[in-house]
Amino acid sequence: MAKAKTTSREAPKVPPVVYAEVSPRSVEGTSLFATATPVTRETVRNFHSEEEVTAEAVAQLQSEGFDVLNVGDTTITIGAPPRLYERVFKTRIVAEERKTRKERRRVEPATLLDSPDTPVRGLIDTSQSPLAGLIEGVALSKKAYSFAVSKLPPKKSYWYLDVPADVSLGMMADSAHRLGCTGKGVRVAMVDSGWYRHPFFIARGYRSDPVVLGPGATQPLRDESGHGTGESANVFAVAPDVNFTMVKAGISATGAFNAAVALGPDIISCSWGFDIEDPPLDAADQALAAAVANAVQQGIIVIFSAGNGHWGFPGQHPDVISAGGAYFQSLQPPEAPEYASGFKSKVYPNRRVPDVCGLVGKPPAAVYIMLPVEPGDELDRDLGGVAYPNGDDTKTNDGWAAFSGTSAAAPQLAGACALMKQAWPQMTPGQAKDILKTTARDVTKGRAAESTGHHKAGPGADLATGHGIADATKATLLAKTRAASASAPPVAVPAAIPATGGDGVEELALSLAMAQEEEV
Amino acid sequence: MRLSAEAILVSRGNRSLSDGSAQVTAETVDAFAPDGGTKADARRVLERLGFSVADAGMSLTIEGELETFEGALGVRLDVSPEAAPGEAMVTASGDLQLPQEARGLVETVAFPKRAHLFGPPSGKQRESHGQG
Repeated sequence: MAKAKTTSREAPKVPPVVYAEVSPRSVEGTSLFATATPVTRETVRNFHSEEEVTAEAVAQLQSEGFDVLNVGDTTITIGAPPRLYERVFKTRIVAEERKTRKERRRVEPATLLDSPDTPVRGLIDTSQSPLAGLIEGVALSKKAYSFAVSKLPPKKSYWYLDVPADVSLGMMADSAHRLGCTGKGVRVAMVDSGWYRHPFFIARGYRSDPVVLGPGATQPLRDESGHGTGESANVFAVAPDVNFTMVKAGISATGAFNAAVALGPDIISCSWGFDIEDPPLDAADQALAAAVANAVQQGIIVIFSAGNGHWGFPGQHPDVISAGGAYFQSLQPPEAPEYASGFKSKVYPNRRVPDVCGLVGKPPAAVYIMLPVEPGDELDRDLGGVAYPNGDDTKTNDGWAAFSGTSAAAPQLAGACALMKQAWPQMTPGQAKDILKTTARDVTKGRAAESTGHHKAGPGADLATGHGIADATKATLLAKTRAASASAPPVAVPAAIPATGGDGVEELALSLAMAQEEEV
Repeated sequence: MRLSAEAILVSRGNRSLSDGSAQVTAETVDAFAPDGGTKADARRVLERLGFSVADAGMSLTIEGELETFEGALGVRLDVSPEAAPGEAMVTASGDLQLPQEARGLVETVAFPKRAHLFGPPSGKQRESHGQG
């Protein structure tokens, strides 16, 4: 078989880590890579391998230094630097550039890998290697483009939440959506690791502006971590119609945060921070504190994660909405999951963390929400292929990973704020925090992370979950009520209604609004 | 190697972001802000020193090559691109020596630390805690 001529523009490079599929010796004796028979469901069993052969191949690959990423019925997925392949299989690996159809039918040059010793592109001959008796060949992996990534999450047998439905339900956002509050017209910026245009987002019709690069950040179309991509799905789950922008953070957190401020958004969501238990803050921290304070002073609602056992900063800054974690599972009452932080700040006197909670999983790894990520990114590889609860038991390159942490809570609260902001465009950051706290559902069970004091949840506000889990619909209704009373001419309060702080009036208005909603 | 840092400017209210105990909040932040003239002058000076400058509101975000930073600040800098979360990515071998023309405009230059992403622990972290 002759190889087609490449269309080279400039010398392509072999990446530092090369992935490949190894075929252990097939039971029928015909190599998966040499058969003239189409590999179909009728014939695929001929290319399965005996368990002992596969196990021995895995052991030998690992002893040679390969990372074994997945073991399937027909092939073993491995990763290693190119030099290791060259040494073990006595070959060379070269990079070629060819025109390839990528996402959304674009035809562009792509780098493909090859071993020139065989006539089949991408195939390594293993006959000269120490593994010759165990394996038939090695197929170098090509980059998978998004048509290979499902817009639907994989199904797993353990308890977890899907986006958007389960997260919307857990945050009580569905009823607000039916009332017409979906975040429409509200601009949400997120500062994180980047954003990959996953088919999940496209299929759902979510709106995102091009990624903005923070100082030192590169590759706006990539999210090498997967963290930002996944967490953004929490925003859309609660507020599907927001105008979303990801600011990809590079080397400067403050610089990236300020790049988000410069966009003039209504809300900034940050699922990151520093672990600062005791004052004083250093100059870099104070620069970040000033940036946060400045944003809030401009009327931007800023949400930071409280931390996962960290003394989260800026999650403890007085001006932010501090996002903690609560766990719910089916019909059981929600509880503090011992994964999220809860503490009284030593940096800012009287500051109690968190304010309110989003949905967060339990230790050891908070595997809880199935989120879209860039295929083969850090989270996909790190959690994939590892059994629950230490990993998510998905594939390492399927573009889905189950994770949470207060990283998930912050964008969920950002979504709730977006619904409120649509209902009350003049709402200030302080009013948003107050409404979330007023309408949250109390959590009375469980504890905060041990490293922040292991505080116990109980009736009323506490240091485990703050005021409880945010209730997006109640919060939106209260925002509507306050918007109406803010625009209405002042009226005398009837003597029969208690006038202490206006709470009685608001509760009555909220009850009426809820009753109207139920009638609908 | 390209670096980034925050140039903290001299405030108009005699409050300093270098004071680690200062409570910088929406109520107090104005006292830590530079006036417009200081910011514009600082920007010009920093650009003349070879930095690219972004107006970040309270501070100026400066970017430049390692050599530009070392030349302007009069110190040798050690860079740790793989710094663990919470650790400094850039450390100076001594006290920063702000150039003469920046004094009175720039209070100090703060190098960033790597942030924690508050998601799942990495595989390595899970292993080190016996959870892997």
